[in-house]
Order: sequence, then structure tokens, then C-alpha cells
Amino acid sequence: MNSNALHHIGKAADLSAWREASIATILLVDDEPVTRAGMAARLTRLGYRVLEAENGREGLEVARRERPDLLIVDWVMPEMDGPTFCEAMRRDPLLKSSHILLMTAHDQPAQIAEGLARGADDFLSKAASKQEVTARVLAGLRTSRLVRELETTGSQLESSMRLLQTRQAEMETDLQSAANFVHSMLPAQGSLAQGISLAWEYQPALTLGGDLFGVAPIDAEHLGLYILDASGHGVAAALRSATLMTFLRVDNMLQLIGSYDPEKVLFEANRRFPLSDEGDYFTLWVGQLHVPTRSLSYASAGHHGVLLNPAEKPSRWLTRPSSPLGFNPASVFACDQLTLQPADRLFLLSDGIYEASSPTGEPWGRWRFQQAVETQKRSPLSATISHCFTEARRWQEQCEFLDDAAVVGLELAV
Amino acid sequence: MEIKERAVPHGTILDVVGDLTYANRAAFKAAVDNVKQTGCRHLIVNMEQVRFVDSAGLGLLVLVSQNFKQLQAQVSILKPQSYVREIMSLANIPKMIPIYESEEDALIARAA
Amino acid sequence: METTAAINVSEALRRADGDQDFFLTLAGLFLEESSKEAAAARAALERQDRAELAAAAHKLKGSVMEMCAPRLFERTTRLEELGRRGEFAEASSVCADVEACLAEVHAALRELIARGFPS
Repeated sequence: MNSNALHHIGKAADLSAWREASIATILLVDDEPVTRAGMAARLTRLGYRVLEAENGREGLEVARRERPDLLIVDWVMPEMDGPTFCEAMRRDPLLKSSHILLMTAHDQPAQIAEGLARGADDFLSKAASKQEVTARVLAGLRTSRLVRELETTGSQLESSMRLLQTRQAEMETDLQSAANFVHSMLPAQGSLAQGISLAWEYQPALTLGGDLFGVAPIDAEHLGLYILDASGHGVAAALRSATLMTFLRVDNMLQLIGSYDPEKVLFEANRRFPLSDEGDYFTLWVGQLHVPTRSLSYASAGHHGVLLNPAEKPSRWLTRPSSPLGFNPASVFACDQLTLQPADRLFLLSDGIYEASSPTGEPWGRWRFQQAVETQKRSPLSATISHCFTEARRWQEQCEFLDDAAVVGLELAV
Repeated sequence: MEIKERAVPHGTILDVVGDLTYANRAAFKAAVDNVKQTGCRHLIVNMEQVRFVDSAGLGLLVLVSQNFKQLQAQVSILKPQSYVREIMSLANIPKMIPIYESEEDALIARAA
Repeated sequence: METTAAINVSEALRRADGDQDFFLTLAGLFLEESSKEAAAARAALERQDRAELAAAAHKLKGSVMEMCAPRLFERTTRLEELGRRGEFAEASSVCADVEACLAEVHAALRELIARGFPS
């Protein structure tokens, strides 16, 4: 497909070069045979290729067929006079940029004004001397050539534009495919395991999001969970996130280290994902929940978006200073532990939701997120998460988030 | 964002004024490359006038620090503002790049 | 003498860029067309058809220009104008002038075709 388009552009360029080197073609439209023959001879003697038409209708046909470089048209003609012919030419998309000289017997200003208004480019007197004819014709051909060059460039630009648009559409489709694939790896909503339900809402800033999360069973008694955040922007960052997501798959981790212990997972991820050449990195939080005892162990590499929302106590962020992945190859990640109670909720969030800024530049903030979650404690989990998104959107006074917004909620049954 | 280079005994100070962000990364990288080429053994990034650092800025600081370590050279940070200090703490930066409150402290501590 | 009065031969030849053969061919074409055009003008005049009279006179005028016949050109121009204005009375006498001049021009052209150009 590419090569055809380029070939087409090449051909058009060759054609204009050929026209440049070859003799110009002039179409003469005049109903009077003697004057027509006289003018035709004059033009032929000047070295031009002359085509003739004896009325407007025939003139239009010849013009469409031959695309002459210049037209010389008599003013007074039966059925279709010169000005009417000009109007017809200007209406035709194929012919409208042609250069037309109107032949006049008089040189009255009013006539000239009318001619110009109705589509003539210039005038040629029937009594014109050879010098004048030559001058007008040369000037007309110069303009015609310029217009032709512009048209060629214009159509080349159009071709290039169309090609670009096609490529862009193809890229968008590919990106959408990639996004569909990656997002198909996101966990299913609903009941996860005995007594645990999962709900989430995700709005990536671009087609392919760079902030991703996962919740999956490790074995009969354990659930693994993670949320990651890519520091870079755009498709490149999103693609790297997809790689990390694949790395964090339960089956991969079990093969690599034999468990999903958070501090070990982070240790491996830290080795495998150094800083990029541009200084891009990931923050990552990993948790492992032992379902029967409701014991959650977790560790973080610079990710501070995890909120514990206990049923009977105020919510708190599970955060401590820690190096993002790739900052320090020798990092050791500390593991923390807590026991969840029935009806407790745990939220994993990417910063896009709480960094949503109002038009005055103030972020919605982690505190307001906490409020939103607390006030909706009695609502179903999915409704609570929905409420957070609504509040954030209301805060920033727009629907789209500038950065990926994700909220993942886990709830233990009563 | 503006960066000025300043020589001190056994080191070079980059006085940074403005935000250290994704948008300004090229300028920061260029300034650091300049210093690297002089064979500087101790780069001090003066962040007294830096109001804001984003994730790209953080990554860049760490990248520079890692590069200098490979060259057997050092990077220090000087007088970060409280908001910036907090961001850097959360990312455990002080463990990798020492932070000082005065030029003298920085130069003395790293002279060894 | 009449030949040179009816047609400005040197001017006509100059207009044809000195191409005698071409001029004679054009002259032949003129002999045909101008008769038709003059007849059309006369017919339109008799019908008192303004538009057709003006159109025919205009057409004739154009072809006359190629022959460089100044008197005929002037009369034809006048006929066109009178036709436009619908002044049929005066137009009638001017049309007669045109026909007379045209006959002279025809004679001169036939002479040129037969004898060639004066050297």
C-alpha cells in the first residue's frame, strides 16, 4: 500500500516535468471561422500547440479532454458567450483553476470588470499586435504553470496526508488491540474467593494505560494482589507496564521464586526492571492475602496508593518510605503484615484519581478520597468506587483524567 | 527553569531555579552532561530554589546519581524545600543521594 | 488602385507575419464566410431582429479585421452599433454600404488570389 502511493506521487511529478519541457497547449474558442483561423495561425507561428472549438459547449469538452495550459475565448458567441463559458469553467472542479483570456473587440472598463467578475483571468484585444498577443499569452502561461505546480504540490500533500491518516488509523487499531489484550488480563469483578469480593473501575488516560493492577489466586488459600504505576508518559511507558504485568503473573512468579511473598516479588522485580535510559521507573505495591486467617502481608517499592478502610476504625494509608523499582539495585524491601476483619475494605489506587486537579490547579487529594470512601462505607463496594470517580470528575470539572485513574476495592464479607 | 554552574573546592554546584519536571528534563540533562565532561568528582545539586519535582524529575536525579557512581564520582543534594523533601523521602532518596543543609557540610562530608 | 483602397495589403500581410500563403488561404475562407454573415445581417434587418442583426454584424466585423479593410471595418462596426440600438432606418442604409464595401473587398481578394501580392 505504501509503495503504490509513493509511485503515484512519483508519476505526477514526472508528468509536470514533461509538461514543463514540452510545448504549451492553447485552446481557442471562437465561433467565427476567419478570426479563429487567423488567431490560431498566429499562435502556431509563436510555437504553441493550438486546439480549436467553435462554441462554448465544444470548448468545455475539449478542455476536459485535453486540459490545455491556456484558453483564449471570444466574448460574443451565440448560445454560450465568453463570460458564460468562464462561469461554466469555474464551476467544474477539474477545470476551475484554468487560465482564461477573454477576447474583446473593445476595451471598455465596464466590460473588463464584468469579464473579471464572471471568471476571466485577463483580456486580449482582437486588434492586438503580435507583441501584445505574445506578452499576454506568455504571462498567462506563466501563471498557468504556477497554478499547475501548486495543484501538483497540493495533490501530493493530499496523498501524503491520506497516507498518514491511514497509518495513524492502523496504529490506533493496533494500539486498541494491545489495550484489549492487556486489559483482558485485568481481574474479573465479583466474588473472588470464599467471603471476598472485588470491584474496580479503571480509566486510562490513553488507549493503553500505564498504570495496571492484578488480583489472582496463588493457591487454594492465598490471593496475590498488586498495583503498579509507570513514571513515564505515553505508549512507550504503557508497553513497559505491560511487560511488568506479565512478569508479575502468578505462574511466572511461582516459577521464578516459588512463592508470591511480597518482599521477594519486589526484590526480583527490582533486579529485572532498572531505570530506563530516560530515568523512567515503576512504583509497585504487592500484597498477599491468606484467606482463611485474613492475614495480609505486603511490601511497597515507592507506591503509596493503598488505603485500608476498616469497618469499625478510621481509614489509614499503608505507606512507608521505599525506593521505586530501579532506584537502588541493592534495595531490600520490608514486608509488613496486618489482619483484616470482616467487612473491612482495602483500596488500591493509582495517582491519577487523587491528582485530578480543579481548574484552579488544586488536586482532589488523598484526604478527599478518604472522605469519599468513608462516607460511602454502607454502600455496595462498586457503588463506593463509582462515587469516588464521580466526585473526582466533579472536582476537576471534566470527564477525562489526565493520568490513568484506577481504584481497586476488596471487601471481606461480614 | 534555569541552571547555573558554579565551581567550588573539589566539586561543582548546579544552582537550579524553577521546577524539575518532564518538561525541563532536557535542560537538566544538558547541564549535568556539561559537568560530567569536566571530570567533576562531586556534583552538588542546589535545590533551594526548586518548587516542584515530578516523577520524571525524581527519576532523572536518581539516574544522574547512578551514572556518577559508575564513574566513581558522587552526587549530593542541597537544601531541598519541604514539599520536595517529602516527596524525596517517600521515595527513599536520602538513602541513595545524601542531602545537606549547607555547602560546607556537603563538601566536608564528601571530601574523604 | 481600388485594390489598395479596399484592403491595406501591407498591414494585412504584416498581420499574417509575412506568410503570404497563409493569408491567401485565410482570404479564401473569408470569401465564403463573409457572404454568409452579410446575408444573415440583411435577413435580420428585414425581420427587424435587433439581436440577430447585431450578432451577424459583430461576426462579420471580426473576420473583416483579419483582412485589414478599414472602410468595410468602419461600416460593419456602425451596423453592429445601430443593430444593438434597434435603429433600423439608419441601419438599412449602412447595411447597403456594408454590402457595397464587401463587394469591393471580395474583388480585391480575388485579384490577390489570382495574381499574388504586389512586389
